[in-house]
Amino acid sequence: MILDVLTSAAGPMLERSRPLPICVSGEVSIPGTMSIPLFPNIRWEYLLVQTNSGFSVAENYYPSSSSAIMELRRISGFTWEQLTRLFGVTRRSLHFWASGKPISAANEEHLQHLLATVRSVDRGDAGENRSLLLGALPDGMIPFDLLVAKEYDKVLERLGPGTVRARPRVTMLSNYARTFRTPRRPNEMVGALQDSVHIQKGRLLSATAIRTKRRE
Amino acid sequence: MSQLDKDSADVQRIDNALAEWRQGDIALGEHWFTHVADPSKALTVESGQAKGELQSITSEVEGLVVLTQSCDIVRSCVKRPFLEVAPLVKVATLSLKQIERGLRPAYALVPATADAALVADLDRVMTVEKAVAVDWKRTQGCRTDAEIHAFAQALTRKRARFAFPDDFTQLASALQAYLQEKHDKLTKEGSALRALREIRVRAAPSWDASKIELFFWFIRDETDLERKPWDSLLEAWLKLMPIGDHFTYINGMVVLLEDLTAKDYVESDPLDLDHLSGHDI
Repeated sequence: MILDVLTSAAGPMLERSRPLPICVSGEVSIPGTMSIPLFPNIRWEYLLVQTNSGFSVAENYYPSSSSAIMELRRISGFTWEQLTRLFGVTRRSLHFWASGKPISAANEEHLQHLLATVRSVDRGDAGENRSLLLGALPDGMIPFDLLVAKEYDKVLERLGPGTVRARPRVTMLSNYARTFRTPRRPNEMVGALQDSVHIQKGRLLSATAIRTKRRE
Repeated sequence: MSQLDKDSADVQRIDNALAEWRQGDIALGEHWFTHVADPSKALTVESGQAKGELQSITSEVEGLVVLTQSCDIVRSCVKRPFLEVAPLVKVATLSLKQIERGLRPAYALVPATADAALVADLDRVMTVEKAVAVDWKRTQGCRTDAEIHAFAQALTRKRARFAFPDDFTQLASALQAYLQEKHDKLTKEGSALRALREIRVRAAPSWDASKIELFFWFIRDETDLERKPWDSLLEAWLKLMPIGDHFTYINGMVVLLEDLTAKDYVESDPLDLDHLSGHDI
């Protein structure tokens, strides 16, 4: 379900050029304002902001568990094994969470805290972040262990804010360009037929002997 | 005769003649194609009509299609003297549809000749010097970005298609059968399969290791307005591929393209397999 939502503050006078949040089912939040729960039992996945030049994903949004896990992995640079140690679950569990399997409230809370923490200390490079989070601090503490212990504030305090450079804005590809860049559908990719099906003309126009010298 | 001087008028004439040609363009007036064969061990109807041992066999075809990349076509013939061409061949309507859907990687659709059911036979490639093409009548083969891209993709797939190990092909056969059987059904499985844009598989530490961990990326479309039960579907798909002595760990995830890192993408291969009944054809 796609919903266009206007805040009460904006009202009917909202200009079209102002970011207009649109969500795909669930809960809407407008950056800098409170969240609006629409369907409390349904997790939303996208918060798109419409601007004069099209749509973009809103910044600083509160993501679903699936995308939070993937973002945590992407920013932290942690391996799946390291991520499992953060939650005390198997790799398989983590993969299923990321594929949409419901996650317990406690793990959800831990996940969102972890994500908020790594976002805050993000140095803009997954490898650097991983080294930072796995390395021993002067006081002997290891940020990773603090994250496991849910001591998020201590990680923030010790590592300080990140220094991420803003990514340059990129215009979304047109639907046409995205469509022809989409690979062939999986069912077509697993059904390749290799027999020869063209109509053989079978007509020889000429044959010329080739003389070759073979090296022994 | 000696090689043309790079500043000669002939070189200029060849370069000018080729300046408009692009990959996928066709020469409908050229009905010949040459390959090398040994008629004493003939493998084709045409070489069976010749005699002797090693022969340059020229046979009749419906036309030629240029496979060389556009930038190499227009590069001076002094630096790039060759063109690669494939023969245009006629196919039945059903085969044409299959080629259009990418089900026959040995052929490439040429949009300009699709109405005449003429396609590029990628199994055969002939190299000609650019001077040979100077008098060819050019017909534009692909007209839009999408057509140009699709033709280039067909060439890439023909040459760069990853050859999965036989036991992997065997392992994946149940998933493959499931995909082919359920895809068009009006069921939740069919709907979910139609919402997948790509399946990729990663083998660690490598495909030639004695024990391999497999990871499947089921990449879904961005829009999932019906909220499909991806986790239970994933579980069902993974159950189709039991672990064994060689593939000791099999797992996967349903993700969006933006969830994958570039590393995930380059470390995996698209699941591109022959039709189950087509292995021995």
